[in-house]
Amino acid sequence: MKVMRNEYEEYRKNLLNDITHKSYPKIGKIKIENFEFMDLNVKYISEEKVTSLPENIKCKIDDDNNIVVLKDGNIIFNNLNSHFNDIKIKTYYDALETNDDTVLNAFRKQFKINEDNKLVNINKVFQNSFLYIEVPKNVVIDDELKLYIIGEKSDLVHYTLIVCNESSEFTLVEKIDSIKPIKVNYVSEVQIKDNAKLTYIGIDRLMGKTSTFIERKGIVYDDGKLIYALGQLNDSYTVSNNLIKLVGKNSYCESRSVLFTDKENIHAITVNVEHLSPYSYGRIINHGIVKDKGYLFVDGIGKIHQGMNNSNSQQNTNVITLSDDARVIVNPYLLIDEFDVQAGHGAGIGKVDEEQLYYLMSRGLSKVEAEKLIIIGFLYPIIEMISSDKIKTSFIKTIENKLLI
Amino acid sequence: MKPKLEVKNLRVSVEDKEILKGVDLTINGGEIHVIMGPNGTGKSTLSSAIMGAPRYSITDGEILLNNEMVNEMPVDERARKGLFLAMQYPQEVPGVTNSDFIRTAMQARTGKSIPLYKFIMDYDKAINKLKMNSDLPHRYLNDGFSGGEKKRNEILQMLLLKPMFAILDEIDSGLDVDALRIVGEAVNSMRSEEFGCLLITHYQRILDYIKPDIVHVMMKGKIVKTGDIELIKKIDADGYDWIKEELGIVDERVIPEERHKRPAMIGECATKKSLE
Repeated sequence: MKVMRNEYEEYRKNLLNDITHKSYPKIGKIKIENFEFMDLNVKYISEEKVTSLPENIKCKIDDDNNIVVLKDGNIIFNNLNSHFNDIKIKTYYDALETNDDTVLNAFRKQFKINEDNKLVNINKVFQNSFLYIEVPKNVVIDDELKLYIIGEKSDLVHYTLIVCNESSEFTLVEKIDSIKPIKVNYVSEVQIKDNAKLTYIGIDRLMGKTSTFIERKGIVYDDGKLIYALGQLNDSYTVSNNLIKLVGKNSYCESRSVLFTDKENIHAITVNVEHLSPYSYGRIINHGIVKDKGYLFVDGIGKIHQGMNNSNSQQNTNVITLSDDARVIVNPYLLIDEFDVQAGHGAGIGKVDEEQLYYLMSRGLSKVEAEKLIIIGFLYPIIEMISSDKIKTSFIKTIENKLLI
Repeated sequence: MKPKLEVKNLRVSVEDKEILKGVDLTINGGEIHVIMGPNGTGKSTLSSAIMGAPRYSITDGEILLNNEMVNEMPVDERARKGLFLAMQYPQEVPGVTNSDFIRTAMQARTGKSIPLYKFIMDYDKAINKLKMNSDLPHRYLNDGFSGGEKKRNEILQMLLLKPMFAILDEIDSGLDVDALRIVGEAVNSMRSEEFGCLLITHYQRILDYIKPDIVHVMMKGKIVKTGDIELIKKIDADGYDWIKEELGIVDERVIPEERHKRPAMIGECATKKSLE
């Protein structure tokens, strides 16, 4: 068993010292300390590549075309076609073996930054899995890369860094899953260089009554385009952030989320789009479905800094509640420090729309059929971004199953 | 057997206010009826009540479809039995595509699954007939449609669902002359002994394309006059005043004109004022 990051021991000690003193971020009245994010059991065990996936993993793969399977920090399977030849996909351990300085430097760099958020620092201290993806300049890939990140042997503390170089174009489908209930602390960072475009579809389906922290952050430079389509279907307590910084002129981002909260789960979601350049465009769409005694908390934040004229910040959050015990809090914030901008925000919480229901039923659909059609239709912020029919079907199936229970 | 839709002494209330005050109407297969009348006289209430919209409570009388009472039947069951209402304000349902919706509805109506190939053929044919855009199947149900597109989409659903009775509630509003003709032709193509139609309108123009057999005039929540095509001509020339005079009606309305609500102003969004 290799021990990770000995050479960064010093940085790590500082961070460890820091996180023991720092308090958790405040999210409404949710007691995050109860989720025991610090209480982690992490180890790294190296695993060899396999030519065919074992059954317990195979059942997690809904589309096996162009996939990379990262299990407990190791790439155990990869069947990408030749279109992906230019892309670099390496774990920390791959980089160590080949002495890949680009990757190792990127890996080292993260420890030198002390984040505000304690949960991200926890990620750095306990990290047992690291993945680096880089798309070279001017490379455009039409196929989707499907990345399955699966934890089994211990809790999973993972960090992905994705660099999309100038004028590249790429679609990533990322699924975070587990073989048994484990804690997950997942951070991904995306850099969209000038005129690059990334569509980032992330579907989280973690099982068990544990706790999950997910942060996906992106930075977009001039004329870059970043589209997130995130589906959060966890059974675990989840704190999830999607943080985007628009630092380039004419940078564009969309953050689309579908959130499903059921049983007695608590899901706290923050989506923050920060306009740090004039002529930047940000759009947030959240669609939530809350069932049973689920508790969904959504903070949507559009922030336009002073001097960032001609920026446009739009957000919309809609939540359907399917039970009387469901709890939902939505805060659609707009923080604007500039006159010459456009902005809009809206939020709605309610049951399935009676008028829509009546309309569909007036064509002969039973109430159950009509409700199902409306709820499945409500997932469109994600569904319309996925081109793989298999992943679409499996996403809808997961929701359908959750609706039945 | 020809289908038959009967409305007998129907009284309907909305939020405890009585709107329909005893309506009698019989439509047989092969007939096209039209109900005319000024605004607010209960025409739309009648169509919603026949279809079974929530919030409309029947306080007296009965609605019979082929001699079966449907008063207590939920809206979806009425639809499966062959009633169809083209709505005045069709709902927008983002996320649900037109094709998914109509195919599910056709399967619900017939009770059998429809092969995809056959469905696409039928759907394309109907789209062509109504001269709608070929991207319609992939667009979300009425989402972002213009007023005219929505109305045509209602008629398209009627063509595919093949109801026994169709109620077309102000299908002509928002349609230009060409669209009016296309919709008129589509409705005429449905004409048969197996199909009856109730047209609700307050304009005469659509009746140039769809020739009704029987004409009713509604006022004060009742059908006050019934005649043939000559009645339309008279209304077209003289308006409704002569009917009001004849029957001694001063105010023909049962639904007061909605008071215009002041929309929220920009800047009030986050203030206490907007909560009050």
